[in-house]
Amino acid sequence: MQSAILPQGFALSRSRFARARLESALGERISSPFTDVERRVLENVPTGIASLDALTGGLPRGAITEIFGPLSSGRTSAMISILAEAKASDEVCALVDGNDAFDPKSAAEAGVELNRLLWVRCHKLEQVLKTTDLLLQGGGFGRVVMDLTDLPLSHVRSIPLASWFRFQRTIERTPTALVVMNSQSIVGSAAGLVLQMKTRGRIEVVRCRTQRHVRVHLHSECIR
Amino acid sequence: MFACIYIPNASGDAHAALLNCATAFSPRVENTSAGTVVFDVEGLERLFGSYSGIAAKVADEVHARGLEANVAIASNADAAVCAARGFGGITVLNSGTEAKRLRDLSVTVLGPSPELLETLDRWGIRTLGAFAKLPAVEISERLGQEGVQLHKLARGAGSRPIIPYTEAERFVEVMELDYEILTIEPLTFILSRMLDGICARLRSRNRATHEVHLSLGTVRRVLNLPLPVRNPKLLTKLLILDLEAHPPGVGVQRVEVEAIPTKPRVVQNGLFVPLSPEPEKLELTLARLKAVVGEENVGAAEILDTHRPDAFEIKKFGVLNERGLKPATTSSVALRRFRPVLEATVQMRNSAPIWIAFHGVHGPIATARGPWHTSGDWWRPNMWDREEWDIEVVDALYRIYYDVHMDRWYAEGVYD
Repeated sequence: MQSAILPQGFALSRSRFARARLESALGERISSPFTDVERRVLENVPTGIASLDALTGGLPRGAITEIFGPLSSGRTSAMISILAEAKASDEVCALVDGNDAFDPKSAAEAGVELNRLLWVRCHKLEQVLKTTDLLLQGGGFGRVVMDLTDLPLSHVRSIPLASWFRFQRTIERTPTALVVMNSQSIVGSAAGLVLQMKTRGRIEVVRCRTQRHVRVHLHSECIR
Repeated sequence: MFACIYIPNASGDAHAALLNCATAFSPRVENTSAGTVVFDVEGLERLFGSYSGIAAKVADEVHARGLEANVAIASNADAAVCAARGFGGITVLNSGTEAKRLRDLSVTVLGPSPELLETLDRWGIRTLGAFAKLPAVEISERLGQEGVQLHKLARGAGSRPIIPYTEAERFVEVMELDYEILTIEPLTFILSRMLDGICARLRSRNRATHEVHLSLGTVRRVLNLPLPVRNPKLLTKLLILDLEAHPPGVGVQRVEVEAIPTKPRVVQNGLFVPLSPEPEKLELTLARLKAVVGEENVGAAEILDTHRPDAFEIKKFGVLNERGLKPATTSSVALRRFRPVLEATVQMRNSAPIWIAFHGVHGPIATARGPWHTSGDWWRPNMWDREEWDIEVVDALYRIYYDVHMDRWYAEGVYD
């Protein structure tokens, strides 16, 4: 490393001197190594669930949101609500279905525009990761949902953390909101928002002949 | 000024050669009739000298194609046609002299109908000069509109514009290879080169393509695009992805690519256009996704008009402009389906399920609601007849059903 040439009579503290030397040495490769990269402030998108929006302010664009919880905790209902809410902004969405479990009829009844939802039915974890990568690289989708819920947890846990950071970097400066659904938290620090869905109290089943209503009293908890 | 090239009793090939010859001189060419081609020579005198010089050049050009033709130049297209049909070799009619020069020609050069020709023959009218001398009003009374039109031509006073001939546009590239190609990778370079040429020609004619036909020897593939494209890289990638999904299976020694032309897409961008993928990029992404998960697993779901459970089909995904105005009809909890459905063991008491076991889930049923009986398509082999139940097992809600026809229980999905 070459020593920095400082003007005579210019008193610098030791730390400032070290910084100046580093900046001088890295000058050609990195223009301002000590300046924070300007982060783009992106809006949040509503989930369509008032209590969840009040709790979190919505899903962040350009970031990963992880929703996890046990069976019948309302994860899929939340996912469908997120997809249905895209109708308000006329966005195109994509669903990467990890185990071909999506029910189009439930979604249509909840208000999802099926002709503006790209549904990719996967059967292996490799397909899910490749598909998500292609969709994020292609761009233009307002909300991309990656549903890993029914895949074996041992397989899902084998996804390297680097993959999540790659997804996060891909969408960082885009208006895409990536939602990852799972039964346990796996995204870790790459996620911008993590939601744990929990069932509370008694599950009430209401059903009539003409219309089916199944109400689950949900409790959502914001972890980060 | 207009020039006419005429070959009596011309074959199809000879006529095509005449058209080629005419297009070498002028972009405004009329395919008048078999063996007769008219084209505009206005302004060509600056290139070829006098009109006689132009006519001589045209005659040379026709001769170079192994044909002998009459060439005539006149101030209007019809006079040029009459002169070419009536005079041999090269003829140039100066403006204002048409009637005088054409007067000795037979009326047959006008191409009249047999009835009109027979009438003129009975009248003793055999030359254009004689026909031109007849009074126009009486011609109209006796021979009608056709007679009036031909009378005008006989006087050399035609004034119709020519109808430009446009060659059928075909954008084809063919390549014969020295040896057979057995893998897809080398085809990338060949297709890229061929599509570069095709797209350049499409651009030069302000056209694009929405359909590409690829022939690899006996194997044929058709690439249908939802929007007009003229990007060679995109078309190459789409063709290669299609070939990877449907390999030719034989060695390839001849490659032929044809792009069907169409009008290019014109897009008006706006500040408030909703977020959606770029159509070209989307098409490429869809092709790649199909290569990963299979063609039948990518698209938009369409619910079929039936009461059959889980009845839907996957249609091609495309970003549509129209918006679905259908509001949400229920706020029920979503169902996650088991595909295929899981066979279950169920114990009943008082006509209600009390215990269940399927695919790792087993235990007493805490709550059960049902049954809901549905059936349909009884006249078809794939009829269904079942009793549905919603049950709560181990803090989870499932939908199960009893298949009356099969006499078995199945778990259909979980409410989540």
